Amino acid sequence: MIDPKASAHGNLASSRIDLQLIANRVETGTKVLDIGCGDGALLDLLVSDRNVDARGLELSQKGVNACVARGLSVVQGNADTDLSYYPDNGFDTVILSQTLQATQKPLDVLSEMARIGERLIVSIPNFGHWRVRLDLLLNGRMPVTGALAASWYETANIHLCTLRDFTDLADQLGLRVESCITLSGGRAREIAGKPSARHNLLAQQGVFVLRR
Amino acid sequence: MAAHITYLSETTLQQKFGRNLQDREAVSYGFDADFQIESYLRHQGMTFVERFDANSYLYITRAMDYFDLAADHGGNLAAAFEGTKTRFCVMSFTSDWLFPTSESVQTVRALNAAGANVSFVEIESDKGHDAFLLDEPEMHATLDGFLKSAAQARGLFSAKGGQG
Repeated sequence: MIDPKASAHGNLASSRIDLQLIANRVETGTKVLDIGCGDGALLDLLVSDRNVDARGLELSQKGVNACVARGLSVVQGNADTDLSYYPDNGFDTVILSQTLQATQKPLDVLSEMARIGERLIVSIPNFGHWRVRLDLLLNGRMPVTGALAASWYETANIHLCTLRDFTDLADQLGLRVESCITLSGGRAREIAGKPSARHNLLAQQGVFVLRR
Repeated sequence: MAAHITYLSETTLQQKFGRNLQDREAVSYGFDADFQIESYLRHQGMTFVERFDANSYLYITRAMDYFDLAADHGGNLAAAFEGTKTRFCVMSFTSDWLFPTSESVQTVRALNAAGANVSFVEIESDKGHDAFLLDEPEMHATLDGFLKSAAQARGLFSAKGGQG
């Protein structure tokens, strides 16, 4: 059986510099839920560096078992179906790193996140990056890049979007974009508010801090 | 004998006994233990009867039947865990048909709804309910991590080492 969330992480394993950036944006001593926490790398960072009361939700059994074995509080579950069991305002910050594009209903997942916590941190691969655009333009085939390494028929990333698509969706849900960090070639740049058309062209990934 | 079946799994029973015959070449069409599985369950049944008073089983099963945690909290299981400071770790085994994963998931959802600190793992095993008594490395690794972090949270275990 193909495990979609596990391979979503696998695809992006080499480019998880977003984790440290996300951790830096979490206040110490707060309560955090990490959805799609994989093997628990971010949770571990939050617990050890920022003294956070961190909980995780992960689809793959392997990921969950690895997390609990390293002492993290993680539950096996699905972002699409299990968020409804979390209480309103149960957390200060809700994190979704490189997982939104692998969910069945990104809109529902985001609105559930906003119900569970006031502050959201969401990182996504940017399908608007120039290489992706150029790849499609020149080859006429679904782009396969370093960050999105699987072919269209086997990728777990079923709901890809650009940075602009994402901010449009945030607007639709009444979520304010506080800041955005764009990542390109291992370099991070922080932008106050929404990314511009230029950022949308140059960034390989975006890390958004949203508030409801 | 019936209870004993629930401690095992279909795979285990199939592998261990299948349709093997007990000390005979052909079935006898009588009520004797023709199959190995019959003989095994009869033996287990007799052992239980010798070790325990049958009445104790009656009382235990009644106690389990009457136990309804949700009912004590207005039918809301999450309410039973409201305000708890305990750290929970729920484990289930894929082939356990006595306490199936689906029921563990219900407990975990209730704990989440109550904002409790809960971990939940499902462990792949064909050993059924009895897997928890056997050598299941993944269960031991999970338990080890959970206990260490719980001890750490209580200040009983300072260093993060020793987990390799």
